[in-house]
Amino acid sequence: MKTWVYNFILFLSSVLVAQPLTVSTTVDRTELAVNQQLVFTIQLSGEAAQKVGQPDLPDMGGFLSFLGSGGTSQNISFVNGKMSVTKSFTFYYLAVKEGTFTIPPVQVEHQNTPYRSKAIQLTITKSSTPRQGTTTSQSQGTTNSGDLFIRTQISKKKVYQGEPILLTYQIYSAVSVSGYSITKLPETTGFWVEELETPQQPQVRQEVINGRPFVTADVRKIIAFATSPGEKTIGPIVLQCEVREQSRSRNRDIFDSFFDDGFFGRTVRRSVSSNPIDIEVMPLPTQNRPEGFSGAVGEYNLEASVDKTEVDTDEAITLKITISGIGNIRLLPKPKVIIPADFEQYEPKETERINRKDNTISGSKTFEYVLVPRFPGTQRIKPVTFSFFNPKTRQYETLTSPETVIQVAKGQEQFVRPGGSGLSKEEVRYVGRDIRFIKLQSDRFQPLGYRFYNSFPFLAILIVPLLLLGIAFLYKNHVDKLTGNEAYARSRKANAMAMRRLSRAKSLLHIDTQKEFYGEVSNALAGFAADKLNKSKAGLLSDELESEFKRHHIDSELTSDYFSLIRECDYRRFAPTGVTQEVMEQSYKQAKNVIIKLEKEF
Amino acid sequence: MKVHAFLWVILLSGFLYADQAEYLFEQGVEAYQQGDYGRAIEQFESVLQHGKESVALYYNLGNAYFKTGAIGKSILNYERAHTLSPHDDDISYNLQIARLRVVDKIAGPESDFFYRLWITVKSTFSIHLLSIVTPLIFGFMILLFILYLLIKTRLIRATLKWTLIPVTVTLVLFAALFAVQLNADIHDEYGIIITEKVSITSAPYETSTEVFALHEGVKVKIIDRSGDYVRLRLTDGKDGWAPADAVALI
Repeated sequence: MKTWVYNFILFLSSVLVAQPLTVSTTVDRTELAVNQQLVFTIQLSGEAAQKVGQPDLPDMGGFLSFLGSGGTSQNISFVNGKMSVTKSFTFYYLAVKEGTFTIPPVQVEHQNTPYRSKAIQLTITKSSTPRQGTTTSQSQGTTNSGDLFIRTQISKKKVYQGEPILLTYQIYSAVSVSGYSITKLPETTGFWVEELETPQQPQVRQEVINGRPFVTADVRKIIAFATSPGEKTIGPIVLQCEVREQSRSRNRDIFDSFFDDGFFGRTVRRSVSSNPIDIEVMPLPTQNRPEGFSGAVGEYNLEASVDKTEVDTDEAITLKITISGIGNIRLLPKPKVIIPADFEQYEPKETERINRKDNTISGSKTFEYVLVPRFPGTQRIKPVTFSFFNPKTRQYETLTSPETVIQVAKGQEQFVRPGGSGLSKEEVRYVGRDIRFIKLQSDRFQPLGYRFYNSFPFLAILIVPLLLLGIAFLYKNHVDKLTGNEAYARSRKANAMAMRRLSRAKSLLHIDTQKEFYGEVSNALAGFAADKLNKSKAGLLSDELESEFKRHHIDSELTSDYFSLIRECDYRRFAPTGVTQEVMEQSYKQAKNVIIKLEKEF
Repeated sequence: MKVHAFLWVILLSGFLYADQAEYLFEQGVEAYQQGDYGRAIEQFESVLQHGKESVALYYNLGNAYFKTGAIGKSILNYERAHTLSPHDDDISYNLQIARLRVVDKIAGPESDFFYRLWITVKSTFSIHLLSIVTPLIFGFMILLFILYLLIKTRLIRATLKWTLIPVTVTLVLFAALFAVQLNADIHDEYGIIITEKVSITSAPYETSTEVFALHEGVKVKIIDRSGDYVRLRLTDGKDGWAPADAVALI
């Protein structure tokens, strides 16, 4: 109960909140036999139906083979200002395999939401009657029975793809046949079949074959169109006939004699079958194939007309294109129509009229385009072209309709267009209002294309602060010098300077350059102290230096090491005796150690 | 002496030109008030021919074209005025009304929150505003830095240091925005369709196929040129070629 209520509410809500798109599929029957045709229809309805294209066909899993498309039809209606569209696509299939099979749902996507139809269960049965044990050796199909057979007449055995073939099944009988029924239709894989109209009562004729009189009648007439090239076979047709037999026995029971006398005879059921027929299907020639050719075969005429040539904007006109003639009307492709961009156009409405008389399939297919001109002026609809292959002349033919010229006058101003994009809320506020008045005073006139960033003031605003910054730096430097901040800078750089001097000394570490070597070491040591104390190196006396060292609380041992090293250097610089490579290296190491230690002390 | 005289001539002619622009503008306003929109257009256009422009001039010109029914040129001039002065309410209002008369309704790009934010930022900080404000912030930052260099008082130095950080961040933001806008101002070209109807073709020559048609007043982005043709792109992404004389640059 609860689920029922729930389902009902669900159903209601789905009705009330109209879905933008509903997809449904239908078949003309759910039970059919192998070799029978099935009509499969996909229907899209709802506001969004207009916007989605042809859905993808479901996978028929080998049970059904695609024969062709029966076209689309569209129905647009406006209810309470809302447009509702129903679009249906028809497809024809042929059952090829027996079994139970489910046609999967068709899915259509709209704004990233999938919409699906329901699946359909199909039962495909075997061909209604099994093949009869009739010997089929003759080419033009007579049964072995001699007194009862079917003959198949075929108009052509070698045809082009899409060319109509007329098949007539005739029953020949030397016995009395009270009735018949078709138990198996011919297998026509690879053909599109249209049945021709046969009179309700078969027309019976007399014919003499091999001196024996036969009664003959047309059982069935079909037109077959091959859908692909190659060697094809049309299967046999099987009939079940009710044959009246004269009883030879005179000894009969009273009831028997009543029903089975010469007037009624005895009824016997007999199956007869025709012979299969081989047909060679040739592909359409590729030579001289026109550019817009899309597969039509036959003989056709093209007509294009519009209902009015003078209209106002937003007034609909109908462009009607009719293709008429002999051929597979139902599978006629849409002709190529180029409609100027200034027209709003809808999917064409297709209607067919098919005539199945006179041993041909003829008729017409009409495409009606509804066009709504949006802008005034002279609009030209380019000629419509339609190409087909004529199997009689074995030539391609192209039909062209004359160009259509439509004069569009400016209609009443319309703000809201049906189907088109309307105005936004924001825009509606402005409808019907006039523009504001001009400005009576102008602002400052400037040269055309003037941009502030290209002007001198812009550059000035950028450069002036930079100049000021430069000046500020110079000024600060000057002040620093005055306030002795230079001493701080020198003291900070002292270590780096000394190390640089030492490394230069290291490169001179050789007997031949001992003089220069000691010069550098002495320089490094003296320079270091001078930098640290912000004094001039040249004017630095050792007494003065010693008192400065004391003032900075330098370790006395380190102080004496320092001074003895300087003295040693000066001595060796001017008295180069007894110096070896090792002594020089020793001096270098000592100097380096002293400087590292002093750096920590200061 | 001769140089002097020459300078005077230049200066005077400059004044004369400014005066003349003023005079022609007033003539145009007068004609407009009398309802003679044709003459008003003539007067206003002659100011442009003198090489002068102003917001009011473009705005008035847009009005005059609107009154004569030339929607394309009307929108063109409103757009020009709008670029020079993006926050003028009168311009935006009249531009909206003029756009209603445009027959083609072209969908804008998908607008999510960040896109709308970006559009708002772009329209708030116009190139004109940025080209003045950015150097000023730069100058202010340099000034603070100079003070920081020169002033020794510990408290003031600390204050300056903490002011410099947000100012520098602001400057970087403005400079980036300015760079983007400057790039757009120099490289992006927009135009308005000024002929009643123009066929947009797939290639820049007469015999190529028509892709779609556009009508007076549509704003397009110009992305390429070839001979007498320009390649257009619409806000909904469609593009194609149109004869150059059908499109006027904003």
